[in-house]
Amino acid sequence: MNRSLGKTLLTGYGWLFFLFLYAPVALIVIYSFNANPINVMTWKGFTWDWYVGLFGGATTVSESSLYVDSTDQLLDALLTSLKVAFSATVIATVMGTCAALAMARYRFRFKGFYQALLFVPMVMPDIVLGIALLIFFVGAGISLGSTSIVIGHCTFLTSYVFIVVSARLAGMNPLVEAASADLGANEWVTFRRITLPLILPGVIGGALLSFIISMDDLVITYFISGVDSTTLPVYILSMIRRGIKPEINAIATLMLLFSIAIAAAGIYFKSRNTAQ
Amino acid sequence: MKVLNSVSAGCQQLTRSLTLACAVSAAAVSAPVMAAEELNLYNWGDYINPEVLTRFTAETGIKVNLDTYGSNEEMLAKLQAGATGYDIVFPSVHMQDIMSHLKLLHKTNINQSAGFKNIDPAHLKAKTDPKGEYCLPYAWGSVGIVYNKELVPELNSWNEFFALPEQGKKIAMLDDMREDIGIALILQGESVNSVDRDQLKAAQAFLIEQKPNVSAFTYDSIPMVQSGDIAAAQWYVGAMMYVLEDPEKLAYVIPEEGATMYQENMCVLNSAPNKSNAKAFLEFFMKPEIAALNAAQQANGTANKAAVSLLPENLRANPAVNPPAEVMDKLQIFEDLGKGLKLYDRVWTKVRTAS
Repeated sequence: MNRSLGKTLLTGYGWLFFLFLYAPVALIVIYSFNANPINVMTWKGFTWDWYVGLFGGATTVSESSLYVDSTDQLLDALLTSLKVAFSATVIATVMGTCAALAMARYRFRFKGFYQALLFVPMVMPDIVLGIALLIFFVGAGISLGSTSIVIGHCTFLTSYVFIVVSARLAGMNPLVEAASADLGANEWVTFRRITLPLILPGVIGGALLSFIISMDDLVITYFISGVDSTTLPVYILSMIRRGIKPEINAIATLMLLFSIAIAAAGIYFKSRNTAQ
Repeated sequence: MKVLNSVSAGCQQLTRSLTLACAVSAAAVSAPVMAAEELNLYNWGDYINPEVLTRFTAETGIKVNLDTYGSNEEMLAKLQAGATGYDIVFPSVHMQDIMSHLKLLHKTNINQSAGFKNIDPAHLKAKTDPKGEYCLPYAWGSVGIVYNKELVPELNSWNEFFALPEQGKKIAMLDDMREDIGIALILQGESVNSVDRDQLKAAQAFLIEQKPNVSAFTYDSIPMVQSGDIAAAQWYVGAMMYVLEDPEKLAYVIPEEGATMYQENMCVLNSAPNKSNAKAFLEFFMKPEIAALNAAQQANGTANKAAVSLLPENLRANPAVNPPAEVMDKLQIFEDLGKGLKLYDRVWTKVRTAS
């Protein structure tokens, strides 16, 4: 009797928890179809217009004189975000993987210290890292822009990739590399044919994680962005004074789909990894 | 809905005729020059009509990059940290004064340009720039009351606003120290920049007395006024966008006792890499048709006298957006108070913690 009551309560709690977690997200998706051009939160009717407008189509809602059309700026910001995230991901993935390999395969002085240093950017508050990077860039005479954002993102994304790849390497039998060498393969061939395929799920997982974090980062990016390098989160923040525009809901929905796709890819690679 | 349709038709017509006028003048004056020239704007989000930038590029061949910020303080912090590359920023008037003291602004002598005669001298508000040698007034607006006409048929003054709770109607104020203390000072007939202890004490007493009647201190009052949860709220002239969309239900008014106003100016930075392009942009923006193009889309006030007559009817004849001179005289702008701001902080803390 008591047990079944407890079970019901727990189930109810579980549902409430997921409702709390996902109701706001569901609202964004619903309101991305709202026809009201000015007030995002007042329902006026169903429309595909925000999506059509994002892809450059002609819309009826945006004809309203009161609607401030800045879809181009929004798309510019999205493009900047994608470029930055892609570049930072590629660089951070290569660097993080190399670091993880070095830490796992070689012994050298101060190894523990280096390892600790690699964790620091992850636990450092964003605002501290942001200001530190800004002072560094200005002091070093590097002009702020997309390049500075990519460099800045790499500083902490490398740590994420390092950790994910390290975990994968820790579970790998080092004897397979020795076996490969015994069979006459040189180091490069061993890496390409043996090591890389084995750690690939970790590398891809780290890259996907980096991409999402880079797309999402606001605080650090805000400090180190410069001319013509407004990313999507920075742009959305700057719109607060005028009120959030309806296209933001549409963009958020598309990004949500994108994130789900990436997360699904991540889970797929992880399950493939355990199956092996 | 009917009103809205005619409004939008009017606006489209305006846009079309402006396009034509501009296309003709652009073709006549100068063929587009294709140079690798650039101009970097650093502006509030969504605070300029993108069409203005497109026109500027078409006419001069200068490519415009637009980056955005969310508050004066953000912009200043970024520049003080040493961020360079931006040519034009859009500070509020009191921030222009601060930036001027910090020697961040470039003297453009924009008041020597031919188009400057269009600028209403009443909008040269910065204390550090009384003649307009540095910056060009960009846009301005009042902070008045938006109200739900189904609950309050007519509202004209702050006294009526503060009397609403006695009739069981809810009111909301902005969650803003300077704005709220400003209203209390205005009701005593004082300056919103007063640093007189007694005046501020009286303002404090007034706000504490009103506090139980104010249902919310918030920036997000528009949806509440629309739904009728709140009958009237202190809000920016930007409420006009919502009013024009639903004029049967909503109204915006500048109260007769007076109100506060805000204004942003276009300033060229000392560190600007493209100073001549920046000045060209300021001159371009002084053209009445360009200023009108911007104000029509932003639904806010313009400092360009010649542009007012080019605005669509719903904005031009609107006393809230383009108030007559006697109402203009009652609008007060915030100044940088320096150390005096501490007095305000103290009053605000007392008000917010009073029970």
